[in-house]
Amino acid sequence: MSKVNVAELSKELQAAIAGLEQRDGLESAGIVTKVGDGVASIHGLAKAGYSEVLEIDTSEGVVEAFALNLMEDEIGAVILGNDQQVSAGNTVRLKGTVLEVPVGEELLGRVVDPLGRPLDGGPAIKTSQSNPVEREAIGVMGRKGVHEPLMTGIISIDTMFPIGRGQRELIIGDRQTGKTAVALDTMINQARQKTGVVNIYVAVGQKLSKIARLVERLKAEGVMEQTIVVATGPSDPAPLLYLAPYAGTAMGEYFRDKGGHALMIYDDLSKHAVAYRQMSLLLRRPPGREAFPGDVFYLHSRLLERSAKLSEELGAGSLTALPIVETQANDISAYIPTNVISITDGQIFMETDLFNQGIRPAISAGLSVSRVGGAAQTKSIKSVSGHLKLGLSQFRELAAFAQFGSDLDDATKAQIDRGQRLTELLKQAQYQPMSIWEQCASVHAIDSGSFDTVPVAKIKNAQEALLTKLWTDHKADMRDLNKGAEKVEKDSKIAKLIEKTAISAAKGFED
Amino acid sequence: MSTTISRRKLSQYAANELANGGSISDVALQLASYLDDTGRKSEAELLQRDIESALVEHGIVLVRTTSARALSGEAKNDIEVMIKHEFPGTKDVTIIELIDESVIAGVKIEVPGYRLDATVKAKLEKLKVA
Repeated sequence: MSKVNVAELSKELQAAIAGLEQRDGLESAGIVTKVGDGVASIHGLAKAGYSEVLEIDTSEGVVEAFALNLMEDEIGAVILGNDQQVSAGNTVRLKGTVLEVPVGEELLGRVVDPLGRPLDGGPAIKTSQSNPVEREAIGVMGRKGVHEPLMTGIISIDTMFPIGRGQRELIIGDRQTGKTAVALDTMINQARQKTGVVNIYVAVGQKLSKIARLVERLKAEGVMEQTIVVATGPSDPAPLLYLAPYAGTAMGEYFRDKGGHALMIYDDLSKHAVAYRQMSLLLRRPPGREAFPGDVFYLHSRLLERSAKLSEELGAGSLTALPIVETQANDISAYIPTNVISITDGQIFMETDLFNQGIRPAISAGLSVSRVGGAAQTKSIKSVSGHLKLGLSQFRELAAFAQFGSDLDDATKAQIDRGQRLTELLKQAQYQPMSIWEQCASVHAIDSGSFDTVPVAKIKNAQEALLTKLWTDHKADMRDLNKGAEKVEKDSKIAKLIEKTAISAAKGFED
Repeated sequence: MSTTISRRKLSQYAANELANGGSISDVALQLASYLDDTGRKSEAELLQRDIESALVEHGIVLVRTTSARALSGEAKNDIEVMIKHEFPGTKDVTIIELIDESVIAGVKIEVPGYRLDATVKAKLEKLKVA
């Protein structure tokens, strides 16, 4: 009996050695020495690379982790699955790859986690390709200047702080000031205007109810078919929150690299930095300002640098980024806001005071800026918005004096009067992005003084009447204007047409 | 006041001493004193593993096998051949056998920093997870 068993054993061993040869030798293995709060210390695995995936054999199956701290005596790894399953003494193996996520068209319309696993209850996602989560940004020669517009459909942004494809424009402001609303409207506009831009919304530690509402809205607006939602909630482990923006970017790069255009929305990078801070502190990395680790700038710079407009040789695709950062008490000089402001190509600052005054979107004209988008603005929009930003900033400064009323000179009064009308015009309801012709006609109607007889309270009604009239009576002209190539200049045919229609529309709303 | 020396350096020192014919008890005493002095006694087991890894570089390989029954001489010979193939320059292979009936059949081979689990138990667990 025992002879038979020994023979069996020998046979098994031969088979194992044969299997071993197929796998190019013994597997590198280490052991978990400590585990807690989603972080494990691992002994052994001297050949592990930075960000390499590790497989921890637990009694309930394999749990993945990735190496972040490569120290002399041990590896610090963050666990991607349930850390409750991992215990000291578990064997750890090198997977031999860095972290990858599935990419491709198959992800469109889906809600996934940062590892590409479906969260929407839909079928498993089978893609033919996967991309590394961490990837080096395109070099200088592979890039091109930002020159194509990415229309948000929000009149105040498209006219004053235009965003180009490949640009990184920060949306910053306190909580409940409409940051996500701006991002959402931008996504909706891509579908309405049929721009072909793929939206990738990355929710970092957002309430799941908020993500569910957003997905419902995207479905209702018919935007979901060209959108991927990478979702992480507040109860997800910090490593997943940390990975979410990188995973989303990898998905976006797929479209960029094949000559398409994608829009990344990172909602929000403040929570991302907090998740990274948690991981870093647990990995015993030294804390710096606000307890963030020293490489928190690099955390965001390497992420946002992947958004780019590619050169013609590389297919001329683009990846535009709209990172969101939440401030506390409008303090844009805090650590993370200043970091991200310096990385991005401009910021849209949402003001609580404006929001509370009913000015929505509550965009601050003075503190917002777009550094490269001007080159991407369409001729039509550029022709009507030249001095809009300055005028509005001056008005908001002067508005403080308006309460003293009668002591103002006529020029100041006129400026305040025009500013009030403009402010009213720039108010825009959510989920109602405007096309190029609507924006041009609206701004020109105010700028030309055609609405000067309309009381401020009725400006929106007059604007609606104007747009309806123009679309009903001059559809062909508006379609041409919508192409964006035609300038709305003083005494031009299109300018006269808008002025004439605006004066006629205003008549119904005069006092 | 003693300074903190990494386990890697300690293990390299110990491996050098042992490979050059140093006394095991002397090296063990030195290490134990140092660990006690620096309050790192809990690292003794990890240090032992590190020393085993460092000894591989000196051609001394300690292999731990786990199987349901005792390994035959042929099997041990196969393991030695495999180790010498995997770690060129190996001069001395020491096999420490552990009998564990729960592995059912097959063998698990553990070399410092590496392993091969060819037990039936491991295969069944893989099937269970899949």
